[in-house]
Amino acid sequence: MTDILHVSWEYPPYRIIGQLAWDIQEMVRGLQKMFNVVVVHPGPLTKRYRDGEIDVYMFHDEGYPKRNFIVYAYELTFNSLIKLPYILPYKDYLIIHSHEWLSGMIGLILARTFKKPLILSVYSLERMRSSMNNMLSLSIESIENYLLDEAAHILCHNPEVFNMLQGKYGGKVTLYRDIDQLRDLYLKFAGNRL
Amino acid sequence: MKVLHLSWEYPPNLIGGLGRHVYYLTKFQAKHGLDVDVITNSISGESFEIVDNVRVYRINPFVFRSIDFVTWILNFNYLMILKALNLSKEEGKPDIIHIHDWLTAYSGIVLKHVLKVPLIVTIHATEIGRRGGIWSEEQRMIHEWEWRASFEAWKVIVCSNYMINEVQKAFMLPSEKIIKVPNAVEVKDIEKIVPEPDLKEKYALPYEKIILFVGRHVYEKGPDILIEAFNILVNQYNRQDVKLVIVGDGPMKEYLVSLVNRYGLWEKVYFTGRISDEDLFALMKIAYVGVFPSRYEPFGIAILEAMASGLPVIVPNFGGPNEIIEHEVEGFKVSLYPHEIAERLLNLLNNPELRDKMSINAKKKIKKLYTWDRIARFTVGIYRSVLKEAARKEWKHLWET
Repeated sequence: MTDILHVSWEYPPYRIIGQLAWDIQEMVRGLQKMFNVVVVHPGPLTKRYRDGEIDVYMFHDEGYPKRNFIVYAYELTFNSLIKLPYILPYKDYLIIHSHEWLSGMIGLILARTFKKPLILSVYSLERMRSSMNNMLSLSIESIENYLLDEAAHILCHNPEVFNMLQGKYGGKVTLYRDIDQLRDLYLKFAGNRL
Repeated sequence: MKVLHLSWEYPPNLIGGLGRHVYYLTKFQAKHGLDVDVITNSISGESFEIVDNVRVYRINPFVFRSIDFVTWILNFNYLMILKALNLSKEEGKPDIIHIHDWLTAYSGIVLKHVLKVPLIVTIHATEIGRRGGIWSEEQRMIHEWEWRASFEAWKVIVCSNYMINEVQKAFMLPSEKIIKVPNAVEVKDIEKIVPEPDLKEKYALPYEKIILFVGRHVYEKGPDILIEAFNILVNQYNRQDVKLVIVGDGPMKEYLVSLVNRYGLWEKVYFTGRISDEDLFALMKIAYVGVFPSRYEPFGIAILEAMASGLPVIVPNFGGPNEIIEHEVEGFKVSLYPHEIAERLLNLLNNPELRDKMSINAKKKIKKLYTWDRIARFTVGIYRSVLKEAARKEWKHLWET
């Protein structure tokens, strides 16, 4: 079966920030029937474990100064990239699939390293999260925009996000419906490989 | 051997001596047959050019918005990683990654692990040394990145014995990990400059001898100490045949101007601001003496440039300059008391023969010890020994990149 690498900021049971952890788990469990899914996420220690049939690689991300969220994002990326080469086996992944901009930063570097396309799942945008008020972080938004530009495909998990991105990115943007649709998207990238 | 240098400055974007160091080091490494890439920042968009057989890739760090200097550096490093991975894909991965200071530590360390390539760091100065300690959160982060770079690097290069001690103390490194490689100057670039006959008129009156300061206008470079010394020379020793020319710029400039006004020296001090290398070397050639009263100076490339131009120099009797100069041979080593500097200046002004002898000695020393050709050969030797060691070590890594 084909290998797919999912990169997430949270994944149960070791790192749960909100509903996203459960949504991603549900998604990768659904995909596992069709693909070999490998998940990478930060957590309180560095270890490999199994979630049912899914191989999960957790890297330790604690103990660094959280001066602001941008610095935190870079520390998270740094911690993943200095640890993953020693725990995550190299495979001929079909796709690197990142969830949200935080793991997108890691995903983009993995995609360039493994020379594979990046799919970026977007659940919300900085502009929405900040309600377009003075909490808007232009830094986060600029990183988010860069990742959207660089991703081979953007999967929107929210119709509002889809409406906001469709105009700029056209056919590169899809509104997520179900696992079967995601499988078809992966198969499209697989081309003759399967 | 393929070497990738990561540097936040490279000509024409120069902030201090680091950019010039990287330019000449890479130029001479290429001359010695190395395949050299440099990734650096650009203020005018992404670009590529070949400079003296070195491939220079400039990336645009302003793709991302930054909230402060540290996030600007992190943004820049992230983009450098992506660029280096693209290069690795297109041209093959480097054998050595060489980073300069904490400013490229993030990308250097990540690339070391992702590509499985030995890392070398040159620590040009430390945050503790620059500021006399760690006093803020931002400084703590910079210090942490310096420590990380020195911890992750196969070898740590510093420019003087003074810096060996400082780095050892600041980062608790084993001594065998640290190697001293001094800075250098490209003598030909200085020798080829011929000052215009009327150049001196732009800076001083015909009877005035130029006392020259070159450096950023920051506390650690001590330009204020020189103004104090110059005040003593003019107002206490009543020497009217002198002009102080201060080259450079920086946050201390307004204070320096106020100091000059307070002492009534406005006709005797000339602030040039930043000037080109050509203008600087020409100015050095018409000056009488160079004074570099740094409170903190790991090395001091400007001192070498002044010496190569034939200037006797007055430098601190500690730090990197202390190791370059032989007292009363190429100049004077002084404590930073303005009176002592003023007396040494007076000594030179009263003894033109001594000044000329020191000038000849200074030039000779540079040609013998501080050429980039020699320094580049030295660093290539370090790379070779690191690669030999790396080949013997077991480095378990799961990615075939």
